[in-house]
Amino acid sequence: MSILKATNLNYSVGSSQLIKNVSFEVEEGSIFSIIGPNGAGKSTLLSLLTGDAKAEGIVEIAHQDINDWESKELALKRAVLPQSVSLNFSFKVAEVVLMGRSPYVNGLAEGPHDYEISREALKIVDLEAYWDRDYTSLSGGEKQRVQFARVLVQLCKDSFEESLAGKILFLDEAVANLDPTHQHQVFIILKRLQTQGLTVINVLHDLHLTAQYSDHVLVMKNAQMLTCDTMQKVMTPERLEEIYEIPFRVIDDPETDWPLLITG
Amino acid sequence: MSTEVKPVSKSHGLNYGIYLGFFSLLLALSILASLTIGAFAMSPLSVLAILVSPLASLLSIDLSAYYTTVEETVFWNIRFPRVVLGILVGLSLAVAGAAMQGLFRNPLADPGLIGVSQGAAFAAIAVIVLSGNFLGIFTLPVSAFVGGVTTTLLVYKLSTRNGKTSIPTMLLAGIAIGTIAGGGIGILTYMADDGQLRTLTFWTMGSLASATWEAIFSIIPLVLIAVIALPMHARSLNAFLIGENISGHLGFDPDKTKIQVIMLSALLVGAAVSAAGIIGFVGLVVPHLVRLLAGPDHRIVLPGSMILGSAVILFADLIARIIVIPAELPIGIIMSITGGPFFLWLLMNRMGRNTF
Amino acid sequence: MKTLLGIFLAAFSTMAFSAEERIISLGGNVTEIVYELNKEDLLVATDTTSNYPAAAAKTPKVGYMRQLSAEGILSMEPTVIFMTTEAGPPVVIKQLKETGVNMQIVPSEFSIEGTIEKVATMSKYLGEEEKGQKIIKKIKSDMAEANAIISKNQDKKPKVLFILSPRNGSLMVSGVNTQADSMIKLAGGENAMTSFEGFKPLTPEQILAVNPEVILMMNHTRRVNGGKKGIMEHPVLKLTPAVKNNKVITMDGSYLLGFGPRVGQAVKDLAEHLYVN
Repeated sequence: MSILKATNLNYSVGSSQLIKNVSFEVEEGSIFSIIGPNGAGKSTLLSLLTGDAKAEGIVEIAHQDINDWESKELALKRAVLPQSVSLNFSFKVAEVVLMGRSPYVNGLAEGPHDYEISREALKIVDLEAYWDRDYTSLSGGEKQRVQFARVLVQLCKDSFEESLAGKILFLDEAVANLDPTHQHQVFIILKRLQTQGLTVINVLHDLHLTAQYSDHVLVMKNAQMLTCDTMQKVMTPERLEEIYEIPFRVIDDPETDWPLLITG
Repeated sequence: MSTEVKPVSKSHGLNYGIYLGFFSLLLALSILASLTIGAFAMSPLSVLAILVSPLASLLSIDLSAYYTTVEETVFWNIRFPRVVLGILVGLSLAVAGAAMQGLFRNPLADPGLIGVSQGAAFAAIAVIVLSGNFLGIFTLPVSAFVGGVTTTLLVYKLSTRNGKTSIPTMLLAGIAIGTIAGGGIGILTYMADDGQLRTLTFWTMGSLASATWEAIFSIIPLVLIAVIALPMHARSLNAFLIGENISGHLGFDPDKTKIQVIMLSALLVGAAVSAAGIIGFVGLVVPHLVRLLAGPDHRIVLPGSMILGSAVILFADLIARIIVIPAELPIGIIMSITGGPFFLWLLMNRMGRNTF
Repeated sequence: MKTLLGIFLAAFSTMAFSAEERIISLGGNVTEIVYELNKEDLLVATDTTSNYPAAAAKTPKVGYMRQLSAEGILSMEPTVIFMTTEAGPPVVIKQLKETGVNMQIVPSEFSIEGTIEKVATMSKYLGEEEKGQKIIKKIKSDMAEANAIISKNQDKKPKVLFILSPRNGSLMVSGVNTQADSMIKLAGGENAMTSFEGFKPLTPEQILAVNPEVILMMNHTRRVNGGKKGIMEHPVLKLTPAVKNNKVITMDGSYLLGFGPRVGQAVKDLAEHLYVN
């Protein structure tokens, strides 16, 4: 069953067309990755899906046009983790995470449960001791993990074990600045949330992470969609050479159920 | 290892209530000082007697033995309206500054930065010079508001493409439009006759000396609307600080927030400028102080700035009134010579960290 | 009936005066009249434009007469405030009126008649009509002397440019409806600038178009921009007949423009500068 459907998306800024005629569907409960060379239109495509930019064509989330969604309703259905978040004001880490609770807060202040679940989220990303720290004093990677905690508390209303069916998390190259340990930590968490029904749509650069964690892969090149298929069908030497224009070797590793990629 | 659930720690350790209480105490002190201290010497007892006499007379208690008629007139016609105007102007400028800084995600943003003040000033000066009077006592505040909103919307249009606002373009456009409005003010100054010119000078320096009940009633409706509506955007502005798009992802409506905050801020700046002229630094320094003490959450920054803004203006006005007794200085000068260095100090202090 | 009322009023005003008067005078000319009437002992405060005679400069100041503050004035506990219609801002004048303090507002007219009226009103209020008449007589006799000089030189009507302040290449000069304009006319001259009211900056080209025969300025302007010397060496002004013929007149500002008790003498002085030297 598809949870997101894009039909004939076109988008241009000035005279340059950034997205040409892209159509695809995302299956509910899958991890869906968008890859492609620099400047292919990956992040632009993602911004059309999150509603940050308005496309020609139709984006449907849960069978409803994205433009017909109330901002607040949509916030209960999907969260977005951008590449990086710049902040000029000295918020506490806790305050940043608590902002993820916005869709659940009616009135002026967060309740005790919002605080509890935010604290738990920080524990999940290994930053529990950072609760009272000044967000602006953190390193780039730490900031990104705080932001990850923020989207976690937006997705999970009551607990991190609840069903996440019908919910989507968008990530825009969100792990690019993390060390390998924390890159994998993020994806391990995503895999776990996937078992609870979460759909993940993410823009990725790292082909190894793509191969290891994706169910489906959409390939963008020159503003167009080259293909959209299962991970195994995209991760072939022929496809990869077509995309990146360098030779690839793809080796099936008997110890894992995902292929190893070697360039050259 | 610190896993036991600490009592939920609010921002910056202390409860916001304590800060609001502290600011309110300062405001109460500033009101008390402003009502009792002045060129015209009055004992606190007389002031108290005058203040409660309307109530006392309801109970048929006559307190007139405790004060003279002149004292009573000075109090009700000069000092009291001045304090009320100071409160209104202080809270308007401070909270407008706080809101704009949130909106532009820039702690140095100021109504002056994006053309609101210049636009408001231009419109008000045009009305003075061209002797327009279309709304009675509301003429000046409404034209100042219209001028502020028009310039802001113009800047907004210029810097918005495909529904997205570019902050750097907006700031640059604000500077450009502000300069154009400044040129317009120059032309109007040239057209003005001697009497008008004097009003303009008086007014560009900023002063609460023109506090009359008429001026107060002319801005009260505008200020009330904004004071009630602006804090409703507090959480939305918080989300704005991490990003305009992110605030949308979190379920807020960034476009609605943007346009409403711009309108409400222009309303406040227009009201303040029309009643007391241009008083700088309040919108910059007061929100800064609140953030420094209580953190950047708009749920404390907005109400905190209102209360502290009033207190700061009243204290500054008190200095303006008593420093050269029996004459007085324009409060704009006091704010500039105290606020300017304070602001520089803040800049130097914060430069290394690049955050506020 | 009328006479009776007159006597009563006269008696009342003397009575009012006999009590401890505390005078605040706002405006150099008004303060000068207070001094001429020898009532300076009753003066409790003046404004910053009251600098003549020298003693007036040392009185407590309630600020600039156009930027007054009500409380500051009331704190001096005046029994009467003398001011011209120039005093302001209007809101403060309104506030003062509301307190019921005695305000004697004399019209601010740039004329001999206006000045005589000022003296008459104030001397009457202060019960010094005799001294007032003496001042008025002096004004009139000075004016007669001035007019004698002017009528001897009827054929000459020099074009006079009044420069308020030379600054950054542009000069603030006087148009019509100013004290300077009135003084130039009273002294038999012709204002070189008649195209506008009040003061406006003049460009170098306009200066040459106007081509003044006499330049008039206040002598304290020297502090601002070299005074007479600055004018004489001004790259454009030095091309005018005024500078070529050394007809640059500097006079004390409050004396020349005050329209106070010394107005007649000032007109005579100016006329002498225009025609005799």
